[in-house]
Amino acid sequence: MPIVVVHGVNTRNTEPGYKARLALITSLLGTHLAGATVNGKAVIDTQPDFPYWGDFAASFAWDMASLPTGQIDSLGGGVDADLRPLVAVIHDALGDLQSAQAQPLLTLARKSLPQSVAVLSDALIQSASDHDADRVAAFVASAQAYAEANPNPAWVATVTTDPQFLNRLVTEITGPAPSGFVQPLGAGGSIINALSSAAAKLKNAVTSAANAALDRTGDFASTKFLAWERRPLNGILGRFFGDVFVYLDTRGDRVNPGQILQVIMNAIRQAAARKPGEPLIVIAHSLGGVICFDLLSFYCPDVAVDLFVTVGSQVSQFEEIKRFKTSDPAIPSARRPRAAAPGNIRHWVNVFDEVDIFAYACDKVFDRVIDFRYDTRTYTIKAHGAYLEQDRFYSRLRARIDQLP
Amino acid sequence: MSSDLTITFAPDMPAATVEVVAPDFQVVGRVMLAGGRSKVVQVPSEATFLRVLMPFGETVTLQDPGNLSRTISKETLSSKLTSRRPGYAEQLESDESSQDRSSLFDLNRYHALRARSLPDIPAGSENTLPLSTFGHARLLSGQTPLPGTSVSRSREAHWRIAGGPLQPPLVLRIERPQEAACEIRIPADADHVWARADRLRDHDGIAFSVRLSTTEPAADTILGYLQRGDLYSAEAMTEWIAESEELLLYKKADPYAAAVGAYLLLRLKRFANLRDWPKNLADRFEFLPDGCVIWAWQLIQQRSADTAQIRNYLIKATERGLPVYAEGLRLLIEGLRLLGKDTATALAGLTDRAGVVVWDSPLTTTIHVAANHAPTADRQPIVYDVAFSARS
Amino acid sequence: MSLVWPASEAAIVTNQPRLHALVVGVADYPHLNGGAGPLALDPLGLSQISTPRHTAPAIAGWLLGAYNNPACPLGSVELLVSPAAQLTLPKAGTRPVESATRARVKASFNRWQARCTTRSDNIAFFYFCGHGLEKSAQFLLPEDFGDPATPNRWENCIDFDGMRTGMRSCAADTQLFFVDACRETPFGVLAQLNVTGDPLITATVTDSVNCSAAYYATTQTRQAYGPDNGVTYFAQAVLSCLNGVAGLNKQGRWIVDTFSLGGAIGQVMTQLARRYRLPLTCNPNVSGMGVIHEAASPRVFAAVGCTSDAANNAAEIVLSKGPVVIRSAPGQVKPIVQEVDAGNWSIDVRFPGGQFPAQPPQQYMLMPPVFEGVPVP
Repeated sequence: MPIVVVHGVNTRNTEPGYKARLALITSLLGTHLAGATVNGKAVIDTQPDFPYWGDFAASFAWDMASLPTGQIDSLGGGVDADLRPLVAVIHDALGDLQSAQAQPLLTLARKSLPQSVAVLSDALIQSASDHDADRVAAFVASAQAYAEANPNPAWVATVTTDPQFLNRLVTEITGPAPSGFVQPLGAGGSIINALSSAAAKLKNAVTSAANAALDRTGDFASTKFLAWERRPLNGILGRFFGDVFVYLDTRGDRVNPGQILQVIMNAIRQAAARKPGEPLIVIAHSLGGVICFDLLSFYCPDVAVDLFVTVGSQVSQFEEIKRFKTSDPAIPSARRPRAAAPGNIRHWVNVFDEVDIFAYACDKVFDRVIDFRYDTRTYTIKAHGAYLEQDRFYSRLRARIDQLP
Repeated sequence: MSSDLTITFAPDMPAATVEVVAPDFQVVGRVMLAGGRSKVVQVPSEATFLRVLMPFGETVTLQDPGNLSRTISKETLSSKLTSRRPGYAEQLESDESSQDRSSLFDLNRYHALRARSLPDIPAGSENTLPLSTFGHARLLSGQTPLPGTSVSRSREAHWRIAGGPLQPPLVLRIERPQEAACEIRIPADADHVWARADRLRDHDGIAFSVRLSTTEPAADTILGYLQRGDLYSAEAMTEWIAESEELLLYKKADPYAAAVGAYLLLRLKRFANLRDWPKNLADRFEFLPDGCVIWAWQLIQQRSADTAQIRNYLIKATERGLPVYAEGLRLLIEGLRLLGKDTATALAGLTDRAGVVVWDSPLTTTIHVAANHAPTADRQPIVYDVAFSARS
Repeated sequence: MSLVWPASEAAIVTNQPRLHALVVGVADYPHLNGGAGPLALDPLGLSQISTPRHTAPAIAGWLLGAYNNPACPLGSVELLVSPAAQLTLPKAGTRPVESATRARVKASFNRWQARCTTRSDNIAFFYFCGHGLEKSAQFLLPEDFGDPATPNRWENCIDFDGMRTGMRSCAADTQLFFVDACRETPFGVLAQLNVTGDPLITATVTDSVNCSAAYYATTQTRQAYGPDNGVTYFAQAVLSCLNGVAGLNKQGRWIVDTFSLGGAIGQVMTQLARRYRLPLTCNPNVSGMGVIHEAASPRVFAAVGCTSDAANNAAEIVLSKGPVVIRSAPGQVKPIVQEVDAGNWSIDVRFPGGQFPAQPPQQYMLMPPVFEGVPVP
């Protein structure tokens, strides 16, 4: 089937957790999209394709040394770069780190279980190796669903340590073991080991940061944490510009489309050919949405897409600056207030979170597009990448799909 | 009315134990045979049959009623061995991707088959060898990696070793990035070492299987029997020890094989056969902790009053590093424990250094966790399967 | 009371050689995940299990009903099972059995050890089934492990390796230990320094034991398994072996000794692993030869299958000996793994679909412990 998921900027398959993220998306698509009907065709096969264009994207000669670092790192001490945004989130949510350093995840969970689960999931995905991807993804998906349904369960008040919290969380999520199966006389291969380790690392990070901030004034410390949240944001901005310029420079024409376009085009064509009885769904994130719009409007207008979902994308922005191959400078006009959505796209849903600085609404610029505000309920820089890893996103998307004519 | 049954091993046969079984299943004799040797056993009836306990674990029953002079060769056995059927090895060899799955049983058969027909592998040139996508392996002599060859589509690593037995033990390190590293002590009298990674079919585990053979196949066979808990067969091999111990200790100077023989005699409490060989092993070969452990335990088992000597040898063992053989580590820990508070610090230091120990391996196999350790979320723990692949 | 047989301490024979047993099975852990009591500060991912509540009574039941050693008959059986229950056992009848808290295990152990040490020709028999952990030694967890009220959480666990070493100070010269528990190291244990348990007994260098045999249900870093609400695979293997699979013909009697048991359990577990597709292993550590039991007849664990998966799927395999016929149709699970009488069996491998060449039935000699066959096609 034909579900093609096109990634956005900043995606490299050598990053830790890459496979786990794909597994999570696959799992969530399976849970929520199976059985949906689009254009009278039922979605049966939910196994998506992930055309990877990261290798053709921007590369930085000095590895982004141009980003100012200043004193931001001095607070780092023993805190892993990957963990800093998470520590910053904990700081933001709780106001300070000292109170949380003994049991950071539990302290966060007492405020909001979904937030704690989000931090825990991130830590887990980041450290997931390739062959763990499926298991980690399955756990994260169930954990999110559980936290959604139980944002403040009573049992959180009864536990006193992070390990207790994690063990109890796993027990609540996995439920009692079904009878009749084989049981091991030990920890039973539960995900607890991985969770405990991720939690221990996080706790070390929080403790390091909390102690480092002790001899500075409160204001200064919180500015630094803000900087910790911002640095990855600067990174994304840099890559975003880089990828846009590379795309525009190398996209080529219909006869010789560029490599990025070729990778995505091939995936979409193959998906279309594979199961003609099922709807072709293209889900595109961020710059992936812009590229797919160009693709579908100009490079392969013959491919009929039943549902086009742009997520955290900049399609309308590109149209406003008239950078698409099919952009018409004469629009808008009195007669034609909006640009036409490509005829080969039957339904188009555009999803954005107002907190995501990279996401744009489309319905003032294009006709035939349905805008859908989605609250990722997370911090600024995380918002841009969060949509596709959230259970709630897919359940909301399904609800929208069910409402399509 | 009893008769004499002559059993001969053809020259191509490895050393192994043969059980001579009467029709009522009574084992009337258990003898060790090696290539080119013969033994005569008194049997109650001509219907007596033989069971050959092959070094790699399979047992072959040979019935030939009426024949009182049996010659056993690889050929007579091959038609009876289920493991000879190429099914297993071919399956594993033809697997296209590292995602194809095996079972521990199949892997064992694959290794046994491969050991039988030692393939001609070119000399190695790589220091770090991939084990499929699951990790990589290095064989270290001190800090120096020995070059090896990658075979079987990067799933397996092979080393041919030519250093000779008068060297400190080697260490085989299997590293899984971001996870644990496994260290296996390898006796320096090893001549071939294989390490391989496979996905397990059931419960999605990963198996790292390590096989090695040494220049003393009889010692390998003994360790195999002990690993499988087959003490009767191991006991039959003490004949080899009687012949070889002096040779190994003095003339051929293979302290590793000598240690294996000594371990077996110690376990069987054959102190008359042990004599004072373990003391020589301990004193002459300073790179080998095992000699010290065996001598200390011989003193313990023989109820020596010389507690000071026992303590000294056990402490000396800890100073020389971890014993090569798992039996040695087990005895060392137990010995230090028995000496009570006196050796509590040494014991704590030893267990710290050892970390997590894989006890079913015949060689000391320890797992060490890296500082940035992120343990696997796998349901099935990683399996380390270490054994001697005695040439058969 | 933890003594299930005989009825009272006074009835225990101490002036003649006897086998004294201590059997412990822990299925309920109130302080671990899913438990009824306050949750442990770090439950280590462990939760409630059910097989020990069946396994421990099965072992005790075997000792009471089937153990046969004329030179050293059964002397006493201490049994602790969590959750506490009313159990019906051979010879002992129906009686309440207490739960295995650490205090009770220690008290039971002391009584058991005192009985064992009365004579050097006694046999000491110890069986534990429940959660296990390993760091520098094997730890066995009694019911109240993880009690948050205990300041030192490792106080409530048993250092098995320490105990086995310590038992050298017990006069009984034949000591059998069965450890039916996992030997994993969960992260919470790995990250912890100073993991020590209670060895229950200590010994010095001058103590010795003639025959000390420990049979572990699994090896380091692996798990022991049991079917939900059944007896563990390891216990099934042990009982099979005791009942004849590990038997050796010594002057017409089928003797199971420490050597033969070690070799046999491992081979049986390998075949059970094939049958149930689980990573089952056994790690015997035997030093010294001691006679355990006299079985009624020799038995064999037969594992019969073809040499390739394709042939296994297509084959119909029939084993027969006299009136006994065991059949496995094409498509059914192979290898056929079954405990059978020793002796001459006919094994017929047919391929009804003609995928492989036909073979005439063959006679095979099935001798304990394990028969693995057949070389077809």
